[in-house]
Amino acid sequence: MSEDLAGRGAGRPQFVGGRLYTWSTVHVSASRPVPYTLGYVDLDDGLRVLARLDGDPGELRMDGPVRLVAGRDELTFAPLGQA
Amino acid sequence: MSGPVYVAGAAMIPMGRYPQASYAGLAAGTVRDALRAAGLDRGDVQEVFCGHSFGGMLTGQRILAALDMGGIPVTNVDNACSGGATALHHAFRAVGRGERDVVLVIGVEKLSQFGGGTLPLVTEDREVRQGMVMPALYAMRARRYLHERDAELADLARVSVKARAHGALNPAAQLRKPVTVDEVLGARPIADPLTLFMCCPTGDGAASLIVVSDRIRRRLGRPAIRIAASVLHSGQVDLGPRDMLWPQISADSAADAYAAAGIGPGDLDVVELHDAFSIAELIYYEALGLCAPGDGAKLIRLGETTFGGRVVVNPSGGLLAKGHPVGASGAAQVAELFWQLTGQAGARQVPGARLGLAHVTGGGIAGLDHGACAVHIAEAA
Repeated sequence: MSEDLAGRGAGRPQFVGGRLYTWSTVHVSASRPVPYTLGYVDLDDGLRVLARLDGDPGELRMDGPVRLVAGRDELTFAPLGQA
Repeated sequence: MSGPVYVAGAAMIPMGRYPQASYAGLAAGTVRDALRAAGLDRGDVQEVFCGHSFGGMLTGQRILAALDMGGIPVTNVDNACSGGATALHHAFRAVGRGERDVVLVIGVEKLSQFGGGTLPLVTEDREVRQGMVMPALYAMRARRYLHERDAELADLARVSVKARAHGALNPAAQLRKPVTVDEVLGARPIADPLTLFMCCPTGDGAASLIVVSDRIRRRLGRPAIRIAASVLHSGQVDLGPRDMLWPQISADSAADAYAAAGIGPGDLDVVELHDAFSIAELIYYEALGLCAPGDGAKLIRLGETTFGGRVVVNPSGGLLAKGHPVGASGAAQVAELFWQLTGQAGARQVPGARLGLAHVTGGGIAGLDHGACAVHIAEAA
């Protein structure tokens, strides 16, 4: 899938992920440990997905690139450049 | 054969926490009071629509049983935050079509049964399973709004300040203590950037409306309001990059309501809109056409939506200060319009109010901007 994306022209991110449309860190929950950060990620093929955002919320940027984080129970992305 | 539809009586209990109350206990008094205001008796009611989300089976019937009413058709209606308004929509249709002359609308909810915290959403929904809660959804809208619009966090706080100032004038409001911008900004974080005071409180409440035909209204000869439009929409799935600052469902519902009533947003004197979170008010100013897209923050900064301004928004205190017991809210909003348009709103009266709009929109469902939206327009009769 990474190769497919890489071949399609200038400006396309060379990673599996998308752009972060918006996010919020939730501080109050009856059902899960807080804080946790959710965001909407816009994928290149026109889908938007809700996902967990990994890492320091202070590193998140509007419309910034975020990459898929492997090995998580829940769909998770992190800002490009973080593990 | 369709005819004009009126609300001839309204009543509500003060919104707040009533942990010992039952749904019937919350609502029964409002039915009696609304009937008394209309000059009608229990025996005059021909049909009942009861809006609620968490009362369990047969909530309307339990309320009627407490009033020794029965036999007539009762329909219980869930549409999340739009439940009470959806109940009104069905009453509007029944009377408007000439099927009924007197219909009772009840909106009731007891959220204190869940303790505190956010509204329990349905875990069949995949976003809910991922941890989506309503404050997070609106918080994400707020973050995007502050990014795209000429607006600052203090503008969200100004909405809460206005709501509390109006709530202080309303004996039925859950939160009646004014707050300052600094207090709102410094309150407990719920979902960034929303603080506690930018979120509606958890509470209980009930409101009843008596919906009547023209024939009955003329016989009663009392203050009434005409329902000039009653619009209900559901959300449309879109898995792509939706503009979260433009709630299509609310915009469409409002446009349909203006068309049905033959008016425009500039004609309104008073609006009760869905301010479950302060960001919601700024977004709905735009979606309801109270200002051009992009100008929501200007309205609140200039005081255009409080007393003395161009159109008073949420004179009751709105969901933020009056409260938001979900099934009750839509009915309580129209009760407020009833009092405003018949000159009975006391300290929070909008002088000379003749035209009002009520807007509630409910529910978090993955892929939808919202599940339901109901808009009513009312005119002094």
